[in-house]
Amino acid sequence: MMVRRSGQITVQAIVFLLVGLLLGGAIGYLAAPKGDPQLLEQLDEKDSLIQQLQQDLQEVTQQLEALKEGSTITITVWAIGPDPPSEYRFENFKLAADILNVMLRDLGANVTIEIEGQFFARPVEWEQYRQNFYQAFEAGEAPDIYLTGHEDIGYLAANDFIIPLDDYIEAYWDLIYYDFFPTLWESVKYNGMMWAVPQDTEARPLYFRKDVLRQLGWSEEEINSLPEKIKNGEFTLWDLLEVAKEAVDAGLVERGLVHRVKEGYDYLQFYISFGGKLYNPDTGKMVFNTTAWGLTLDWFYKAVYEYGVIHPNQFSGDWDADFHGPFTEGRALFLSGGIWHKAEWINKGLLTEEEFIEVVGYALHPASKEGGMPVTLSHPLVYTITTQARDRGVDKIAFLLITLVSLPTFNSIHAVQSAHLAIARSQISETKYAEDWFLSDVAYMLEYTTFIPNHPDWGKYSRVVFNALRAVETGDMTPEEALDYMVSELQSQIPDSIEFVE
Amino acid sequence: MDRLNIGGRTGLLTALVVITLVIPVVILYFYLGLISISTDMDGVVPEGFTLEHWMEIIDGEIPIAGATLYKYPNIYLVALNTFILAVLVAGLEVVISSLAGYSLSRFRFRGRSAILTLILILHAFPGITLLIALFFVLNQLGLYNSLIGVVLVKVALDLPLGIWIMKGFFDGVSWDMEMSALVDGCTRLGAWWRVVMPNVRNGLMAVLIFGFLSGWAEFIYAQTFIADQRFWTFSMLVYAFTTGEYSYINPGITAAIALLYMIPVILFFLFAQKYLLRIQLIGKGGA
Amino acid sequence: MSGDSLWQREITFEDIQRVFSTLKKGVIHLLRGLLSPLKKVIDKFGYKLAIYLFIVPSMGFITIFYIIPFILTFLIGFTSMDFTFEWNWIGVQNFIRILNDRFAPKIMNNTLFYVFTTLTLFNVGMALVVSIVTNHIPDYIGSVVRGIWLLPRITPSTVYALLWLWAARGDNTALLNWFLGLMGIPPQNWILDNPWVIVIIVNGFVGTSFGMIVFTAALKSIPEDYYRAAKVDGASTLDIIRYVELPMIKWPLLFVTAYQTLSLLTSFEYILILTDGGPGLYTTEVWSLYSYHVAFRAYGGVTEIGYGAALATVLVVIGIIMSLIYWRVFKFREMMVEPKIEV
Repeated sequence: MMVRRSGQITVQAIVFLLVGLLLGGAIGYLAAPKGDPQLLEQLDEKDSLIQQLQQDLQEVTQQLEALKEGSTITITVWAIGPDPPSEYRFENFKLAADILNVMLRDLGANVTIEIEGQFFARPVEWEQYRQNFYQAFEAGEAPDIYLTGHEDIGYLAANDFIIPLDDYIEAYWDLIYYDFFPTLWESVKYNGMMWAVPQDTEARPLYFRKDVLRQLGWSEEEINSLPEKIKNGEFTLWDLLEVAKEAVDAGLVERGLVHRVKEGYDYLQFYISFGGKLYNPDTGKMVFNTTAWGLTLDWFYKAVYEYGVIHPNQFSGDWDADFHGPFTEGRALFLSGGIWHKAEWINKGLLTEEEFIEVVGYALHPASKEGGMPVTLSHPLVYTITTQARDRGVDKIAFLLITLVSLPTFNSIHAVQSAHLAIARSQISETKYAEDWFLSDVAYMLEYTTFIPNHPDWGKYSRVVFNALRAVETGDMTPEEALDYMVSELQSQIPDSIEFVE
Repeated sequence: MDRLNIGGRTGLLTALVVITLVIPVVILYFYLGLISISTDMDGVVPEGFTLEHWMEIIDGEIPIAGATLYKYPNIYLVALNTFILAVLVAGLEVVISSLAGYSLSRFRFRGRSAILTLILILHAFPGITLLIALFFVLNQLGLYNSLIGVVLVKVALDLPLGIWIMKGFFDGVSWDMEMSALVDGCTRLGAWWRVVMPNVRNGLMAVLIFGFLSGWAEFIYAQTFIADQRFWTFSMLVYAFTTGEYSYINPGITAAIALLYMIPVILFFLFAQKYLLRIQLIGKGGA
Repeated sequence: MSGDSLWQREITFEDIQRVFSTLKKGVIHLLRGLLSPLKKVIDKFGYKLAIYLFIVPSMGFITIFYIIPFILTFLIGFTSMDFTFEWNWIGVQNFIRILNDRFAPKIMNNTLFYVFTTLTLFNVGMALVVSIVTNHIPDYIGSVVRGIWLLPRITPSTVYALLWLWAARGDNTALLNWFLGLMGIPPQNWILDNPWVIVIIVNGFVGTSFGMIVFTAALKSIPEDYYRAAKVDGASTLDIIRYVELPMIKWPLLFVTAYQTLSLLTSFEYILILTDGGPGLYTTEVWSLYSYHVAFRAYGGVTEIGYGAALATVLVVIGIIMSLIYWRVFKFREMMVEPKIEV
């Protein structure tokens, strides 16, 4: 009936075959024991655990291999002058890394530290430097170590750009940090924590041309006692204007007084001298003293328009043509500047060391009235560590490097070349530093100095001050108008960060 | 054309007029050259002539006054950066403008007139107002602090002009020529390459030269978007001298470098004026 | 094979062959069926696809670097973004601040003064002078003169500004003062005491070339007959200028004025290099430069990108409105000024 001669394949046979296969498969599938779901899960877990272990093992092996071959840790540092002689703010890291690498090699550790980054010097100024930093940070390419002015700490800390360093400092406290001048630690505090390591500090003296004073008829003794007189409050800001006016009227100089040509912090000294304060540590707010500002604006205005000793466009000039040039060439009598300018002048070849000693004198900035206190300002620069460095895991190494460059041996290279002041007491007797007569000469100024506040909104206060002073000098505003402008602008922009006192 | 040609006695008048018109522009360039080969300038007259400024910069290193180690970026590096910037801008502009110009000229597609209008509106629009937003865009694209970022911005802002020019040139190539080539068996691409492109060579040259000069002279975008000194271009180096007192201390070296920077400009001025003028005719205006 | 039902049929080699070939045909038909709509699409749109490929790169560029920044400028203006790059929405506060900004009126004044003066003196004025004068002298000299006036525009901005900064130095040894000294004018420190003079001169020299080229092209297109007729009537050169040439360049004049106004309104590169807005308090600051300063240059590290964008928005809006007007007004003139004019 169905089967034909054996061996011949019929359609029927094929169909039966297929059907049989299908049936068999179905039965087999249905009848096969199912795995216990719980067990299966556990098996899966073990599986992934094993995988994870394998991965970890691979990683560790790789790391060990890498260590055998030697690995490189790269730290990126950004530092700024803008004065060119301050290049060691950056270079010191290279020197420190070199020594560290020698130590590591001798210890048999197969790690090398490499330093990358840039030193920014004029014509790059603070504005551009800061802009570059924030741009880089946004792009995820911020440096690990970022040198900046201490006043930036407020903004940087409040907005998560840098990390607090209390623990790090404590770990290395006994190495060198115990020896830092205590006031410097004040400049890196914000919200009760320390956010940076001081890099250097300076003082801002009033320079004067001794040769011009001689021509005015001053005796050698009078000239040499001028710094003393200023210190004692015998020579005031108004005396300064008088003497400058004399010199200008006598045709000895073109400008009585030159000061910085861009926004900065020097001119705040005058406000301090007139009794103003910048910061109230009790309330944590910045302070605006209306009387003091009124007097300051008035002084600047009179200096330009009554005494004729400051050029109306002094705030928009060119560093060389309107600041370094006139003073070093003897065409200005007084210069309100910083101690690093001495290094700048000598390194640029504008004056020789002998010439400097011969014709340049320096003192604190005078008090505003007889018997008052003279003033100066310090603007410590500080090293910060960015949050991106912490995310990359190089924060500890970065801090180690910072500690190394803070040692007197390294810091003095910078201090001497660029004429900045020591940060540690032991640094004062460090050979290179001790040999520099100028730095020890001006060290006394630190007793009379002030800092600008660490407040996130400091930038706005500073900008308003600069605009007002500039307007008063160019004659765009009268002192009253300028004071009005400052008050209204600050009240509208940062009413909560500033308090007004009479 | 005879337009009241002035000759003879009034030839003197012509000469006078020409000189008055030309001197204010030309004298500055002569002055630049003069400074670069003078020892010192006593007023407007050089005290002596020397080649030392040029010799000093031959090794490319320019020391910065006051620092012992730190220097300005090497001139050769700066020249390379500027060159790369210019070439990339020119190349991209030519390619993209021709592509777009051809399609706008030859093809009919939906959106054609909208695009044409857009280009017409944009080419008079000052891109510089978008600086802040561009900074933001580049940051987001991860092109911060790179020459490529500047290249892309420059190309994009020059595109409306480039497209308009190329379209004009393509319009001028008659369709019949192309059609006969196609009929003769060329593929579309072949026709494009063999028939159309040679005829717009002028336009291509014009856009190429314009793009190169545009990239070579670029300043403001480079200044805003580039931080790393290794990527500096000539314009930023010269700007550094201008604002950084170097031009006061050492005008000779400054002048020499500025002259170096101007070489392609001078070359083009002497040999490729007709292309320049073609561009400027439709040119983006303005100071 | 009589009596065989299908079940009983043998399977031969040919059977197998036939099965396979049927299968093959079936698959091919299937594929054709599936892909035929796709093919139709390619046939119909492949052409268009190619076209779009031509235009896509340029549109991509323009979208990313023109359109999106457009929109972004507006949006950022509504925030108080600073260098933390956070989008802190503050509504229209920035724009209210512009209205109350103490310096805004002065800067707006500066901008208008700058645009108006440079426009009349150079972009239009000098351009007219150069093109008319070179039209009346032998052409080979004329084109050289015009070529020379092209130089300031193609010279890199930093170099050209540097040249003028040198020339404008304050001592009487600088070029400008020396030259004026020849005429008995005492030396001045131009940048400090009279910065607008330098700013306007530099921007003017650079901007003259645009108008010069347009006017020259227009002048050269005046038919010969006009000149002949005028000469026959005994007209002097001045008469010719007044009655033949000037009337013919009314449209180009309007064109140049319109375009250059927009361009001057927004340019600040040269001012940045020459005076940086100074000296003094915003003496030569123009609106676009103010926006740049506010957004990028704050000493205390507190920049205000948000406020800067709001300031820029003002310019962007003006720019868009003017561009639209030009498009409407000059659309047909644009067609006329084709890139095929010989110089």
